[in-house]
Amino acid sequence: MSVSERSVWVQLIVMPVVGIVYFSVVLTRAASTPVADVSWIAPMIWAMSIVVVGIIAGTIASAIGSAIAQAAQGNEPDLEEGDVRDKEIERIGNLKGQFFTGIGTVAVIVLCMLRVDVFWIANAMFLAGLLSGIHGAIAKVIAYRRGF
Amino acid sequence: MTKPTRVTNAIRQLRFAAGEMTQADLAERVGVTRQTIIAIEQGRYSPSLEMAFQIAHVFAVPLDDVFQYPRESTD
Repeated sequence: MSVSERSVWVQLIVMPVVGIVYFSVVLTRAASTPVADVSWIAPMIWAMSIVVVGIIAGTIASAIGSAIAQAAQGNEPDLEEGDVRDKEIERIGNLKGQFFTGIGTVAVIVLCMLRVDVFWIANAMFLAGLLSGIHGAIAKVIAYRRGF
Repeated sequence: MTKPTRVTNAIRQLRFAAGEMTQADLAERVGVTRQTIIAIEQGRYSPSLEMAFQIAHVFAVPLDDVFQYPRESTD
C-alpha cells in the first residue's frame, strides 16, 4: 500500500470520528442553550486541528507500523510514495468531493439570505467540508480497491 | 464484481517468461509503484498509452502481445 493510499484510509477514519464527536458536543449544547450563546468556535478550531494533525500523524504512524510489520516478516518496507495512478485517484476523489462542497455553498448562501445566526452558517460550512472530505476519501478507496 | 476495464493483459505470463521477473522489478523499470503493476495485472487499472509502451519495451514485445482489447461484435 502506497503512502497516498494509507493517507486516504486514515482520512476515512479521522474525519467521521472527529465530525461525530464535534457535532455531538455542539448540538448537545445547542439543545439546551440559545444557539447565539453556544460556544462553538473553540470546539471547531480543535476539530479542524485534530483532523489535520490526525491525518498527518496517522499516516506517519501507519507507515512506521507497516514498516515494522514488514521487517518482522523479513520483507522490504513498503514505503512507496505513489505514482501517476495515485495522482489520478487523487483527482477522481477530489472531483467527487466537490459534490458536497457545492451543496454546502448553496446552503450557506440560503442561510445568509435567511439571516440566521452565524452558528448555523459556520456549522453548515464545516459539515459540508467534512462530508466533502469523507465522500472524496470513499471514492478514492473504491478506486484503489476496485479500480477505475 | 465487474472489472472497470475491458483491457486484458499478459503481463503475468510475460514476467514469468522473462526469468520470473518480480512485480517490484517491473515496477522499478517502468517507474511506477508495485501496487500499480498489481492493479494493471488484475485489470483494475488501465495504464496510459505511454505506460503501456514502457511495459511492452521492458519485455521487448509489441504492444498487442501485452495488452488486448475485445473486438466489438458487428452482428
